[in-house]
Order: sequence, then C-alpha cells, then structure tokens
Amino acid sequence: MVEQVTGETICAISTALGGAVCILRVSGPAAQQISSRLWRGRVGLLEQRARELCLGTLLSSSGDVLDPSCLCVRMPGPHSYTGEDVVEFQCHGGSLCARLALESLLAVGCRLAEPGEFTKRAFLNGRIDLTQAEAVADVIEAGSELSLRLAGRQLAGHLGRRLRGLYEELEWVLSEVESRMDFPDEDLDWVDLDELQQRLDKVATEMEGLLRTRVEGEIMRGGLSLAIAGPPNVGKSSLLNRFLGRDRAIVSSEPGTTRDTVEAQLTMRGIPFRLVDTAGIRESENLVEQLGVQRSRSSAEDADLVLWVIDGSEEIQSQEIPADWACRGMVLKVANKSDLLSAPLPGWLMVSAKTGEGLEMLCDEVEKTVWSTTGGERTDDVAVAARHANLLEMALNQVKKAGIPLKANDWELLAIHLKDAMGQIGRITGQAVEPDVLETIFSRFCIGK
Amino acid sequence: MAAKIGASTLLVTLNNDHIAQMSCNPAIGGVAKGQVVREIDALGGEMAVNADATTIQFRMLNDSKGAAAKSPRVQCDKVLYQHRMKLVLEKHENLFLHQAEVTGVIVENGKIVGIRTGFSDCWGCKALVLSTGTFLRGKLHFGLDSRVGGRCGDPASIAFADSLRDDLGLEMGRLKTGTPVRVLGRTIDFQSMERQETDASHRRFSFREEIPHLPVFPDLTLNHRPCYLTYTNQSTADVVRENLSRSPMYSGRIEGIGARYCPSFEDKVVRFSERTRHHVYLEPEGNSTDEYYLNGISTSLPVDVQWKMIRSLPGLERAFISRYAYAIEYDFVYPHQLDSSLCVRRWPNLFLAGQINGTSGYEEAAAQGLVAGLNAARQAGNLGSPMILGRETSYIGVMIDDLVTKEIVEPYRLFTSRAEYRLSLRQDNADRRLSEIGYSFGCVSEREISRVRKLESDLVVAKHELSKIRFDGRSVLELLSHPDFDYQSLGDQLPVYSERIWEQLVIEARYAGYISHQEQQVKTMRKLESCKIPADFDYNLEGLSAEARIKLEKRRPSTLGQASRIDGVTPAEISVLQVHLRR
Repeated sequence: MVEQVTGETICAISTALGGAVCILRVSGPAAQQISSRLWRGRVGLLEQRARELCLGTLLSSSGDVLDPSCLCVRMPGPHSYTGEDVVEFQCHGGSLCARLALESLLAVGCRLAEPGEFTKRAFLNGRIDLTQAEAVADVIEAGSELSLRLAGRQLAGHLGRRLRGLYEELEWVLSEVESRMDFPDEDLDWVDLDELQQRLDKVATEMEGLLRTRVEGEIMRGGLSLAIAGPPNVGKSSLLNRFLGRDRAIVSSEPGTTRDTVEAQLTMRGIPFRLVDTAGIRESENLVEQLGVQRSRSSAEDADLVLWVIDGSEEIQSQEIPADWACRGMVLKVANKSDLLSAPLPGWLMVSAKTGEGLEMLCDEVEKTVWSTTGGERTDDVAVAARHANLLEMALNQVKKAGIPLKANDWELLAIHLKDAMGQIGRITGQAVEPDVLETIFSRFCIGK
Repeated sequence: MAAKIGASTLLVTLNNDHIAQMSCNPAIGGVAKGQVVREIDALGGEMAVNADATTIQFRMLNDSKGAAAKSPRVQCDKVLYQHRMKLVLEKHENLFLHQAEVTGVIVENGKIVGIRTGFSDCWGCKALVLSTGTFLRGKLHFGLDSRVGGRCGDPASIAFADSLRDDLGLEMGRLKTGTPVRVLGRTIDFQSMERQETDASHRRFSFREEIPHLPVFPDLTLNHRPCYLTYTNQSTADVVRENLSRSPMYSGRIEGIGARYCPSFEDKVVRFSERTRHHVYLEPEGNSTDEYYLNGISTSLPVDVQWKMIRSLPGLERAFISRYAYAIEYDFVYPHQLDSSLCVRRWPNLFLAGQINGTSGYEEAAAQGLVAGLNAARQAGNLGSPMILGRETSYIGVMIDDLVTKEIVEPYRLFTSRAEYRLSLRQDNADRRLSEIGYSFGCVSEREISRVRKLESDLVVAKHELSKIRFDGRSVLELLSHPDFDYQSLGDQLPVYSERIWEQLVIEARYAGYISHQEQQVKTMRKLESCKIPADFDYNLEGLSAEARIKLEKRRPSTLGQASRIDGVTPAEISVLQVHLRR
C-alpha cells in the first residue's frame, strides 16, 4: 500500500510548465533501461558517456518522433541527485511534447513520482545531509497537501464520481468472490458467473472510455500554446487584441511594429490557451527586428497550434504558407481584413480583426482542430490526467485478466486481480487502498450461526 | 508452550474440569481457522492432535476450490476433547494445574510480581499470562432476565476485572457473543432433514506422523457422525418479530458489541426480512453425549420464545431443549495496549491471550496462547528476543498484527480475506512455513524438524527430476502448472513420489506466477518492517496530522510497517516518519 524506496523507477517533469525548455527526470534501478527505449542518439543511451549531454531524438512509446532535437544525460548512481541511476531529458517546452514524453515513460514502465519523492530518495540514499532533513519533510508535507487539495477538487467532480462508481462495482464483485471462500457453508444468494463477467465487462468498457479522454485531460489541465504568425502588418496584433477583447499589443500600420513576442492567457471554448503574438516574419535589415523574427520562429516552433495570418485584401502577397511552416500538424490558415474584401479566399478562414466578423467561426475551427488532432472526444467534464491514465491502465489490465480465473472458478486468483485493480483506482481517488470487503459482505449477505 | 520450553508454569483456573471446554460449537477449524490449527501444530501446539484424537467428523471446506481456500474442520466429541486435553496438561512436565479464582495482581515497585487467589494465596511469578475468556465481569442474558456468570453454569470473575482496571490501569471495553440452544438427539426427527456426511478420505489435522495416544484413551476410535440441515420458516420469523420487545439487544439492555459475522437469529430476521428461510445445522456434540448444537439460530430471546422458535423447525416439532440459548457480555482489554509479542507495553511481564484481546474463537485463542506462553517463558528465563510472526508467515501473524494496529469494532475472528498473502498461507504448507521458526524457539521436536527437512530435500530432488523429464518438448515441471494436466495419467512414466510431494509440486506450479508477484510485495513490506521505531519516539513532528499523531501515540507501533497499517496514517505521513527516523 505504501510506496517507499523500492525497486520502482519513477519519473516526472521537473521544471515548471510553460518554460522554453522542459526537463524530464527518471530515477531508479531501471532508469537507463527504460529511457533507452525512447531515445535515438548517435549511439545508444546505454553506450553514451556518463554525465555528458548528448543530442538526439526523443521518441514516444509507440516510436513516433516527439522531439527531433532533444538533449539527454545519463547519470549512473550513486553519483546522481537521488543516488540512484538517473536519466534526464531536456526537450522543447511545448506543453504537449513534454506531456506526451511523460506518458511514454509511464507506458514503458515508470511510475509517476509522488510530490517530493526525488528529494526523499536523495535523502534516504544519503545524498543530502542531515540539516536538510527537515526541509525534506516539509517538501513532502507541502506536496501531499497540494495533492490532497487537487484530489479533493477532482473527487468532487464528475471524474471522482465515475471512479468511485468503478471502485464500488469492483468491491461488489469482490464481495461475491470472497464470501464464496470465507462462507462456503452459508446458504447465500450468490449471482451466477455470467453476471459477474458482465459486471466486469461493464467496468472495463467504462475504464476504456475514461482512458480515451486522456489527451483531452492534459489539454484541459495544462493548456495549449497558440501562436499567431505570418508576414508583417497583416494585423496579427489586432487579432490578438480582438481575441482578448482589450488592447494588449501595440497596433500600428507601420510594418514590423511588433518586434518581440507578446504573450497573453486566454480561455477559448473552455480550453486554456497561452496566446503568443509574434513579430511579422520577413527578411529585415534591422537587427532588433531580425532578433524578433528569430524569436517568433522559435516560439511558433514550440507552439501546439499556429494561426498563420495573411492580409486577405492584399493581392500581391503570397498566399501560401512558407514550406517550413506547412509541415506542422496544427496550422490554421487565416485571412484577415475580410471587411475590405468582396469574395472569400478559398481554403482560408476569413476574419476581420477590426469588426470581429468571422471570429466565432475561427474559434470553432480552433476547437475542432484541437480535439481532432488529439483524438479525444469531449464528454461531460471528465478528463483523466497522465498520472490517472497510468494507474487506470493498470487497473483495466487487471480487470481484463480477471476473466480467466473467473471462468476456471479460481476465486483466490480472481480476488488478486480485483484487489489490484481496486488498489490502482484507490491511488487515483485517495480512497482506502485496503478494501473493507468484509463490510460489504456483511451488509449484503445474511451470515452467521 | 511455556512449560514445554522449560519454564516452571502454574495454570490457575476456576474449575479444572472445565479446561478446554467448548462453550460454543463442538467443532475445531473452519475457514481460516483450520489453517490456524495446522499452524499451531507446526509450532508444536497441542490443538490439532487433541482434535484428531476426538474427531467424529472431518470435512475439508472449499475442497472443490483452490488450494488457498481449502480449510479443514472437524466435529469433536466435546466431552472427550476436554478430558483428553486436561490429562495432557496434568501429565506435562513443568506444568501445574491449580483450581482457584484469581482475584488480583500483585504489583511491587511498578512491576507485576505475582497473583492473589480467592483463598488469599499469593503466587509469585516472573511473567504472567492472562486468558480470561468471557469470564471478566461476565453477564448472561436470557431475554430481559440477566444474571452474572462467565458461561452458563460457571461464575463470573468480578474482582479480577476490577484489579485489571484499578491496579494495572488497563483500558477496557465490553463485547458480546452468544450461543444457541442444545437439544436432545432422541427428540429430533432426522428423517425430514438433509444429512451432511464426513469426508470419505481419512484426513486429519496434525502433520505429525502418529497420534501419541494417552494411557486412558488406548486406541480410542470414534464413530464418525453426520450433521443435519434444516431450515427456519415464516412462523419462526413471526415468533421472533412478535417478541422483539423482549430481546435484550433490541431493548438496549446489552451494551457490548456483537460480531457482524455471528448475528443472533433475531438480527437476521430484522436485517434480512426479505429472506423467508435461514438454514440451521444440527451438530452432534459427541459420541459420549446425545446433545445436539443448533448452528444458525443463536438467540438471546426469553426462554419461552425459544421453545416456540425451535419447535417451528421441520424435524424439531417435538424437540426437547436441554440447554437454553443466551447472549453473554464480558470485559476485554483494548489490544492497542499490546505489542506484537502479545505483551502489554506498560507492564512488560504481562501477556494477554484470547478473548481478553477482543478475539473470538477457540483457534484464535489457542494461537495467541501459544505465542503469549512462549514469549512469557522466554522473558521469564531471559532466553532472548520474543517470537514475532509476520503477516507473510502465518494467519497467526496476520491476526496479531491486526490486533495491534486496527480498531476493535467487534469480536475479531480470522477470515482468509484478511490475509494479503493468502496464496502462500495455506493449510497444506503450514509445517513448511513454520516448523523451522518453531524449532529455533525450542517448541518443535527433533523428530518433527527432521521430517520437515526431509520433505524439503525430497521436494528439491523431485523438482530437479521432473525438470529433466519432457513430453512434447516441455518438462513435467512446466506442465504441472496447467490445470488440465493430469500427472497421474502418465502413470509409471514418472518417478514415484508421496502424495504430499505431488500435492506441493502441483500447488506451487499453479500459483508460481502469482506467488512471485506477492514475494515482491513481501520484500517491500519487509523493508518497512525492518525500520524500527523506538518505544519513546516523539511523534510531535511537523508534517503529522493531529489524527495520525494521536493514533501513533496510542498504539506506539514498533516498526514503520505497523505504523503504515494504522487506519488514518497516510503514506505521506509514513514518509515524514521515515525521514525523521533516519536522523
């Protein structure tokens, strides 16, 4: 029930979200083995020299490229922060990239670190001196308080209700199983095996449904970065101000007014976005503007979604997206200044930052793109985070395995799968991990001498 | 057990003739309890041997289910069971039986130095074990009529209950249990009932090779007897409903807490009113008596109601009640005051066992008696550290750990679902799990330990041989893990092994994957168990909630593992403790 320093390998994003660079830390006996499965460098991770930063490609657990230029360092224990084998990835800070990387680590055998767990391991392995001990205890306490608050918020919600429902259903099945073993001589009203299997199937289906909301959950929690990019003086800043409903960026008719990126928070259709207005992208003699263009390119590169904006009224302008932009998955083509135009441009979303015309449709399109590319479907307000998904997947696995001992009447083995599944759900909701199955049995069945 | 390892031991009891009297079911074993009886046997205890010598029916419960669910249970001849046990005790070296009422504990300089009896005798001791059963301030209820008593026909122990509370300052509570009526066999019409026969196989409890017969029981053979099954009906329930106001439970006269697994019949009628019938087992109390025990219809309703209830049952229309049913309330000591050796933390030479610790059941009590007696003798003789059994070793370990870490909400009994390592804690391997431990504490004989060691080495040889014999490219050892594989069909193509060897090989092969997974969990737990918490540890720490602090101070867990099992202590708080314990 209690996770202590054991053989487990843990991982977490160890930088604050939203930075340009994101560090993923993996620690534990299998850290190198696990990490090597997501890494393609000049040499394999296990061959690469210890404590040397190497450039390579970060892959997802299914082999897709997550970050083509990621740095990785391998620090075998005991000379590492935690005293165990540690691997760190430094990847681009776009929230989706880091989160997918984290999920991949979980999928290939890591457990998500509890709050303060790296520090705790460092202490227990003698890497931190005694004076720091109290600070460690504080960190753990603060972390658990935070997670408790978070858990509380989720428990009150739809997700908590559905998870508790699953837990109770499994407990019900477990009470059927345990009472068959503990009260064989009692004349109890047990349901037949088909019903038990049906109930388990229902639980599995529900779990699968929850798991499909995973990426969506990440988006809902962490938000996405949305970059507004395009040639100069097409009205990118006006569009940003229109989105925000206030003047955040300076607007002028002078091309190249925005020399640096401008950021703002925005919630659109319930999705939190970090909105980035970029300097207009053009070849420029001006050094400051050149720097701005460079920053624009990199922030657009890190963005999860790009709005490529052109001036729809300008005829001579190239209406094509530059090739190095077009390759990105999530780019929406937006033609501004529709108020000056008589006919829409085919293939472009027409908006007017000035009048607000077409903005609704743009929002619709943004929302649709977000959900379509993540493969998620919006249902109720339920969404599972990576940590939850990790545990839920393990629970689902156990529920599926339970079918075999059920068919063979191996009650004692069936119970192990059920308890394991309940334990995983319990870890998500913070419910008692040791089920009081006797309580359920006594309330359901009439037992006794 | 104390006498067995050489301690000069005085056994004081209210009535020598009532030693090992089965106050309730005339049965030993059952689910989880049968496993315990075999564990007691493996540790050198007497219960299994005594039950085997007086068995009138043997059944392996859950025989059609998996190995971890199987539990042996026997019906015993009640009278012979107690007489034989009394003789064993009387003839045991170092053990002295004495009939008297213990009325107080003698404390000198903050230390228990002896006991006082009702004859004003004083007996000095280095260590004291108490097992008071239901006698402490016992109160019997027959309907609204209540009387003082430790068991029907026996007096209660009042002065001693006062002494425990006043002289020793123990925190005490009250529990309730009950027992059904007994009826005369010749007045029962068995024709209208279902029969439940003894198992055909001639199995027994003890692993030991032969039953050492006692002189007065030369070659005693008992006829095996069936149990009978009948059902209550609507009119039984009606009788109960009409008289609920005369129930001491429902009128609030009983304050002790009863067990959910052992409700009275009136509880069943009230809580499960939709059920039209409940089963009642008629268990013979022996060959030397004609009384039958009516399992399933325990009650504390008045005696006139009891007649009506019993006579409404098919086959019992003319039954004659030889003893009435009753409920009994008694004092117990909250077991959070104990450590895992069953010693009271505040009085280090005082050990408690059985119902005084809030448990119920002969088997649970016997197991605690074994641990408490052994540890008391070790302490008295300065023989070294006490025997502490972990949850992964035995049901006995599970029970004692539950007692010291969990709240007592009802009389505690074992269930297999309480054991997280159920697959390993089986009745079929109790000797393999515990004999070495028992031997190291001097309670297992040379003869026994060499039997178990030979079994182990035979198993190693058998595994080696079977891994070499192949059919269709797979070794017999691998094939054994398949439920459909029948080694017997291969007949003389396989080496000859004893039944026990085959049994162990098959079970281990079938559970192999699951057990190795559990061993991982055991390792994690051992790590926590190995982290000791000093007895005077200051829980006034940043990061512990008020609730956790109070609970930890109250129970004073001896290891981090125990602390983690206390309800209300979170994993984060265990981490905080772990950090501070490293300092």
